[in-house]
Amino acid sequence: MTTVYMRSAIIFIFLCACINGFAQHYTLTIQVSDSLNIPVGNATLRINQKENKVDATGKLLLQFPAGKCTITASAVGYRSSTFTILLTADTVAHVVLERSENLLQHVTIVASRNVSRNQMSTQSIGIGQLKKLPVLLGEIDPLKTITLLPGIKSGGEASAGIYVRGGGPDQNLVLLDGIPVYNPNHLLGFFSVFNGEAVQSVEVIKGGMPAEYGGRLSSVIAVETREGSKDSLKASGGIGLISSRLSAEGPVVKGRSSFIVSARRTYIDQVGRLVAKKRIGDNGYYFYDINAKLSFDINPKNKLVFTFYTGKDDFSFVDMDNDGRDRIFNAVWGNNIAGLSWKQEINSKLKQELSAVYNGFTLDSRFGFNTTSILFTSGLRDYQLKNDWLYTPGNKLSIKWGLQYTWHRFKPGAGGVTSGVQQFKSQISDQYAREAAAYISGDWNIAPKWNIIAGIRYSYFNQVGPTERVIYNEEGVPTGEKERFGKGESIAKYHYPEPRVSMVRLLPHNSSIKLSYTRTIQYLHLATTSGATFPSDLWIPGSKLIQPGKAQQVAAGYFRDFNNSAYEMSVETYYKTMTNQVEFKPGAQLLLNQNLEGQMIFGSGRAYGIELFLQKKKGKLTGWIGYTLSRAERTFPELNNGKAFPYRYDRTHDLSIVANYPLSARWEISGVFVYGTGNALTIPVGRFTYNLGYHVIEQKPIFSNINQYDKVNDYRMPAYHRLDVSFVYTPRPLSTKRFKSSWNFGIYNVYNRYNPYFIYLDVDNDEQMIKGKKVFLFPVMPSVTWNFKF
Amino acid sequence: MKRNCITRKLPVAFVMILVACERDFNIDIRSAAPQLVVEGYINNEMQAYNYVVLSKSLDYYAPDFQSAAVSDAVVTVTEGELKADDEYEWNAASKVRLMESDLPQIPENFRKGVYFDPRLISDPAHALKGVPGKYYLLEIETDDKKYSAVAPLLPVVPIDSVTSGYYFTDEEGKEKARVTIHYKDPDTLGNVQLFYWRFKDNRYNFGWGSLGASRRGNGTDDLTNGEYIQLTQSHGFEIGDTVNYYMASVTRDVYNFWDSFNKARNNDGPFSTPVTVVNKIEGENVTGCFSGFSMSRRDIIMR
Repeated sequence: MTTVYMRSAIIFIFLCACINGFAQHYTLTIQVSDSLNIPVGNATLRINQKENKVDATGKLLLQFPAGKCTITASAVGYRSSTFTILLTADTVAHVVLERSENLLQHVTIVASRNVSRNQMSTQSIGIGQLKKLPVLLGEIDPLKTITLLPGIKSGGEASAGIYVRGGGPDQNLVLLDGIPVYNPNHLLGFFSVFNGEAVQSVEVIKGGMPAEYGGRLSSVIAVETREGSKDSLKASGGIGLISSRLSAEGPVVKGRSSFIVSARRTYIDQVGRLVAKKRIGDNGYYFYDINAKLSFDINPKNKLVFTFYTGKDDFSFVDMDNDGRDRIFNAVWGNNIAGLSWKQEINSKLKQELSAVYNGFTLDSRFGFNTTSILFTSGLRDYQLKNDWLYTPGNKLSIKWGLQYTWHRFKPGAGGVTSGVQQFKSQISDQYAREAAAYISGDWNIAPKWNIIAGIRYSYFNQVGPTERVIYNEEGVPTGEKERFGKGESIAKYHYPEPRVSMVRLLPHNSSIKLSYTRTIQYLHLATTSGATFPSDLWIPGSKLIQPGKAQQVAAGYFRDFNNSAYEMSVETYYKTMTNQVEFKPGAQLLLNQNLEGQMIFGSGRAYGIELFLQKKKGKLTGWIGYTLSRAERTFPELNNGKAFPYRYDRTHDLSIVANYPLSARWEISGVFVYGTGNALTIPVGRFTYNLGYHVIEQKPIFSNINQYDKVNDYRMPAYHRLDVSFVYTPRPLSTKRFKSSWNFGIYNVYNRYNPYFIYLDVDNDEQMIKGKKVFLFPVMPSVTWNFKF
Repeated sequence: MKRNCITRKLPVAFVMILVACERDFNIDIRSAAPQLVVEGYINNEMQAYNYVVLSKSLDYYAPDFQSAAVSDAVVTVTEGELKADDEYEWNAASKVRLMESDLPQIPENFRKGVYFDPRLISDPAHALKGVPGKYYLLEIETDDKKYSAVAPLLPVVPIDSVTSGYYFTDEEGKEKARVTIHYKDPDTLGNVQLFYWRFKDNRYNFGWGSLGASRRGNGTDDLTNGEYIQLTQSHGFEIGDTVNYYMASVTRDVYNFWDSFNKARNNDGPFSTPVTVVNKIEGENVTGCFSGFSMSRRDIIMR
């Protein structure tokens, strides 16, 4: 009995000790915001040497044993802050970060990649950094800037097409405050639709995609706009060579709600007329965009955020100088986006966000040529509902889950041609689809140095009526029959699981290894006849014929910080496969074609590579070097005799060097150098003459030259490289006045490299001359922008 | 007319006006094996325009500008029918061998590789002429290799009338008008027409390549099946000029070839994907088409 009592006593004491031990844990809630009381949603908190990310509202909730906690808060675009608290009870800490641009000191050019965060292949850049980097014509452009990061490639000058790890430009989920943007470019990709005045930060996820994201194969590009000041009315803006922007912000109810409205308008056509009136003539182009955000704190645990964007491009081209053959072209296109989110903290462990989103894109174009006029319109509309939940029962585990539902309506490109009195009108019916997804994901600290995030997303897509479709035979001739579908009638249905796994293992010496596996499904395809993106490109739904695109990616990486975290480096390698890739047949007839699906071909793709990233985050000189060695290829049975060929934007070597250095309190210099292997092109291997005729009197033949092609994308354009420099001058850096201003002087393409925009072979039949030609867009280009705020 | 022209080339043109510059640039091109190029025609209207041109493709930077003519080939055309079981029945008696001939319409230096029915010179009334509803087999033998193609001649779609209108003054101050063609599209789907015209500027030229040519905006009757068509071509003719207007009904195959030819001919710019001409000739390493044109014609004096 004594033994039994003894054992019971020992167990009792042990249990008491355990309970006592558990009882010594306290909840630590940290709220990170800036000096305007705006939450900093991209902050990282290092607590007792362990890194954690705050959520979108700037909050982090953890449990710690009683004792001392040393906390370092940092965020892209902000000065980091370190402090210590003694945890003796449940504690709420409010951390205020100062914007680095306000400090008039050097900017830490930071991509928020770190050793312990279990989210590899992810990088972000804050607006503070975006504003300092040299850009074309002084126009801040988040999409252009992210192409300076490894694994993310631009299509070239005048192309906002972004190619992530061998994927196409339609395979990036571009989000504006969580709302998908279908056409993120203004004219030909010179500029993106994101106004630098409204942007807070941009984050790119290239691999290891979290389960809450889906619908695109290659990446997530999340652009967050900033919230307005809750304290006082403010304004800021900039006047540049080709555009100006203005932003106003302030409280609606002081301390509780705020608004911000930012607008931008170009005057590229007017500037062009001043410089070259004769060349520009009556041609014109402008765009404008307006961003607005309204946030309202209902109470400390409930918040409403309303996001709005509208933008329009208006382009006209008039050519009246040849033999009565007038050409008049006008195109107007743009996005309209609106979203309302309700963010709720139900209790200290459970949060949810409910969003309703509208997203529309329209294109109207008209072309007149002599007696012919052509109308072409296209567009799409999305209505989306989204509900995301986060449950954090303790430090070791957090669970996310959610539901998403989108109703798509596609206007697939109606057209009409009038030739004299004769009309040809295509009748492609609108198309409708439902897209839905459910996901669940767990973030689990399985051991002190191990973390795993495992999730699954199950996506569903259903093309439905009402619609009707003309039936074509195998030769592409209409049979005269139509297939009709009633309202809500199912036409094609797909559903797939999309598992996502990523893990991190912390190693000694501030280093770690990370692994990830991602499967993604894409139900919408961008139908384009070229490598660049155009407003006329059509988003088309998966259908009976067009299968969803599928991709799988595995990635592994080694990450390390050194020199007291002044330097950060990473090496990542990836392998990605893609199926059901869609292209139009070469020479496809698109205008007035009611059988666009019949013009498509289907293939697969593969991409692999290694990405190196070395970043200096501290000291006067900051910046990074990014290098990618990669291969991207496609295989289509109808092309290249069915053999794999390089993707047009396959870039074997891609290097970017970014540096920033404060010369004095007033002057700061930044530089960017980029180098990339030239794009892959298909060029002719021979030529022949056809359509022969003869001038009987002049005794000479009449003919057309036709190119003969062999392998696809077998030729490489010359390597692309360029150096850009910018200087920021702040006249009164220590001024305490409300009005502040700075000048940004930029030089794009400092050493005047003639990087080819495209090359072609000029065949002159009369002179009997063949010459290679290259066309380049931007020689050395200076710019100046005056920025102000008050 | 294709969408590329509207939404791609014009914005590109605007960008080019704004900022683009051009320089000579050495494009290093590897060579490929020469390809046989076949340009063959059979029609029911102009006997001299039933001919076959054989040539070989060139290296891109070859000094010759015209393809290398292929001489001494055996070229024949045979008439036949398509039977109910989808098999062709060729009339051996109708087989005509086309020869390289001294046809005066062709400049002397360019007669090699152009094959005609020799009766065009000796007995023009009985020279090869297509008959609507018949099928024609083209056979070629050269360098110990054989090639073939079949061209049907569809029933002729008659032109009701041609009228002039849509007047304008060109930059030289000449008064011009455009031709509108009026015809009824057959009720069956899949009809395709090509248009040609002879006028002041090309009246004494020879060959299909020397005629004025145009194609409808959409090219097919997919959107206008069975309708009465009144189509105005953009080409302007001087007032007082006599215009011979030809409408050629062709098969979808032939239309697809000429459609690809037009796209390949205008294939330039930064965003164009290379277009290869669709080959309609059977055989090894060959490209081209045997085009069957069922022609109808109307003449008009421009007023």
